[in-house]
Amino acid sequence: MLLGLTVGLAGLLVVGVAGTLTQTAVLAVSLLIPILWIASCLVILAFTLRKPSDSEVAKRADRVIGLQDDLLSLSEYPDDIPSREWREAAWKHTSQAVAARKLVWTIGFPRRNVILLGAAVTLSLAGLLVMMGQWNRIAGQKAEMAAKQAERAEAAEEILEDWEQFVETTEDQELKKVFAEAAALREALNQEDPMAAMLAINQMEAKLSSLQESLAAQSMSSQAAGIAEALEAFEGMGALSAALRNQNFESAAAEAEKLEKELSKAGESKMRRKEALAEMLANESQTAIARGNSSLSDVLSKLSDTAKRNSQKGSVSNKELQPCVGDLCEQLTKESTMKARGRMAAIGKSQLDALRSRLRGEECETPPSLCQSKGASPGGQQAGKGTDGQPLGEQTELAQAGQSEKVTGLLGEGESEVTVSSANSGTAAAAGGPTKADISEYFDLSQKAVADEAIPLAHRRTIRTYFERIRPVAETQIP
Amino acid sequence: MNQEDASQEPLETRLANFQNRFEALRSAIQKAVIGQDETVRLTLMAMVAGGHVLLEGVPGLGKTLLVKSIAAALHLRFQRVQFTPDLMPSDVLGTTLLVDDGLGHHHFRFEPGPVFANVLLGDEINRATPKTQSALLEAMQEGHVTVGGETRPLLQPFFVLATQNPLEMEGTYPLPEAQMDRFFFQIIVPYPTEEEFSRILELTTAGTKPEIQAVMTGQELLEMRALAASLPATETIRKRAVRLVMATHPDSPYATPEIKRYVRYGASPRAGQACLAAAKISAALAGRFHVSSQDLLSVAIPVLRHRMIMNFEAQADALNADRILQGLLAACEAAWGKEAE
Repeated sequence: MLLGLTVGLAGLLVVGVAGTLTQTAVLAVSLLIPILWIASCLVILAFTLRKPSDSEVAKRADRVIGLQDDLLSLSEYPDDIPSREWREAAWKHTSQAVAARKLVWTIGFPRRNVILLGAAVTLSLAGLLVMMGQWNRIAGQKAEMAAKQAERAEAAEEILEDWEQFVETTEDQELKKVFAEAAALREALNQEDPMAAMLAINQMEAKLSSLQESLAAQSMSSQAAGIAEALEAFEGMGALSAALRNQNFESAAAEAEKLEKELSKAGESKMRRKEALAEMLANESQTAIARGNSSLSDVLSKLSDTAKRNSQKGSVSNKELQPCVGDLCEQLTKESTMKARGRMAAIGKSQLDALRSRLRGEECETPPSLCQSKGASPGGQQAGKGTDGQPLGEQTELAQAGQSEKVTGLLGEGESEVTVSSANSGTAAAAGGPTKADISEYFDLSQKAVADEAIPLAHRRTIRTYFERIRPVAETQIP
Repeated sequence: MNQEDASQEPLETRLANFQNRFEALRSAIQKAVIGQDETVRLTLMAMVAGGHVLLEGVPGLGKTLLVKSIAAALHLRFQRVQFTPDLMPSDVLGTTLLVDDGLGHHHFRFEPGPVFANVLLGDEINRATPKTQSALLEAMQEGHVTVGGETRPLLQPFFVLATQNPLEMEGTYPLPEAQMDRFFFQIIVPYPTEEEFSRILELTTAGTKPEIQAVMTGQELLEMRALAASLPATETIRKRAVRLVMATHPDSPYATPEIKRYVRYGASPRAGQACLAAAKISAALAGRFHVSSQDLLSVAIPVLRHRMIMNFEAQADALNADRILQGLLAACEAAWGKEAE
């Protein structure tokens, strides 16, 4: 075998050398390589398949069985008479040695089979161990999934109970109708089929989205600023206008109701921007009708007509203005109700989002409760008991930044100009800012003084040291 | 039981007797010689093979005691010669004396020297001159001596057991190669172990001497020799013995790189004879009916170590023959193992 490999490698070496010497050898090389390779393989094959001699077989047998040249000696003992006695004795001795080694098992059950059997047993045990591990893992996963399912069911149950309580207590029939779907959703969740639960959630979410879209179409929020600006022109409608500008329709409705009562008294209400007011209201009326809100358009149209009729006079009688304000109050109340309904729909959607996340096994924040948010809705039995989403109250508005005032006048002789700034009108700056500037200025001055004036050398050093010591850290980089 | 009766016994029985006699002899000797198991074993093997032994060791290790014990256990005639620089060949071989018979006639009479014994102890053989050392050559190889033109046979069995001291080399005459080659084994006598040393002290300071019984006659020893010699060696074993000996030559293709570098001359063909003879005894002692490669390897070092002449480079590198031979044996074992693959 080694001979064959040597021949092959030598051939490859010769070929490699020849290939580097001449270009014409390349062709010969390309033919010689496979020939040499095949030849070396044939040599190896012939060497492997050749019949071994008796001596070689005996040597191998001695080695395999573990004898000390017993079979080799038996195969080589001469046939002369003196050796015959030794050969017979050696044969007997070898037979006993072979029998003692229990070679029946070695021959009947070859080492290869032992290795294969061992490997099979080892693999089987390994497979069994892996399977047991998998079983444990699957059981653990099932238990974990069951625990998560229970947790999700509990979370879903919380939401559904919230809905049912809300349905029992709310007076809004439309909301009651929507959230009455809780029973169907519970039924879907109890099926333990995630797809059915997801489908039910999607359907519920679609309903709430549809409700939100219809509310958005009817809402006057987008026109609130314009209407507020127009109403501001009427005397006594400032509070109503401000509430509208702040999109606080509930407050606006209350102000309108209060105003309607006041308008029941005889009198006149002045109007500012007389010419533009009627046009502004008419434009808002057109916008409302373009958005499909005809009732609001009618109210604004009436107000526009009233303003137009009294534009020359510059005021409008309370009697004429009162029905318009009454209609406006009705619109504002309706808008307030729609806003509350929209908020409930949004809360319902966020609850459904949370429920969906939990069903997927994802972490999510605790969604708000419908019942706790009912205080924002107008009226109802829970009015005043809940919060409107801002439990700490309205944000405190700090005083606005001070404004500069310019006072011009005579002060002594000649004209002078005095600027007074309020305390909080200054720009914010770091405390060290002026100090740095001052030190820099002082530093320049001291340099100049040291350079110009006749200061003794020792004192110069003292001054320099002083300024170096008081110099802020950032200033040390100044050359 | 005479020799004819013994040859009619089954071979297994004769081989068992061979082992038993050898073991009995060894046990008898080791009543007096504490430890030195391998030394005793190799010495007895050489004696069975009919070879002579060169024992090398520092004084006081029991070399002389070993030889005396062997002689006592074999019930053989024992002679001891203390080799000194002024020792003459005639002091070893014997001399011819002019004797008056009382009638006025004079004739020569041969007075045999100590070489006419079964077991000859040549103590500190390297202290005698080469002339005297050479006087042993004929006796050791041929089994007879020639004195005054007359050849006289020696007693059989004849066994020379020489000792030499590796220390105190001043004033010594190293044995010539030809004489070294006549020794079957060179055995390095090791220092006893701590336990053996303690037992030696216990045995030798109690005021009593161990009594060694003769357990074997010279005739029985010759029978053992004949049985071992008849053990056939196959062709492969013979070839291996030949290659083993040839490998000790630096110009041999079987030589290892170490041998090529450090050996000046290799072993003679007589080494091959000794190797095979000793291997046969080793096989017989193991109860085998054939000589194995392991038998050859087990006796190779004592057979070859004194037959190899190291060159100056080996002396400079403080390498001895044993170390070189260990490498050779490992290479042979590997090569013979590959033959079976």
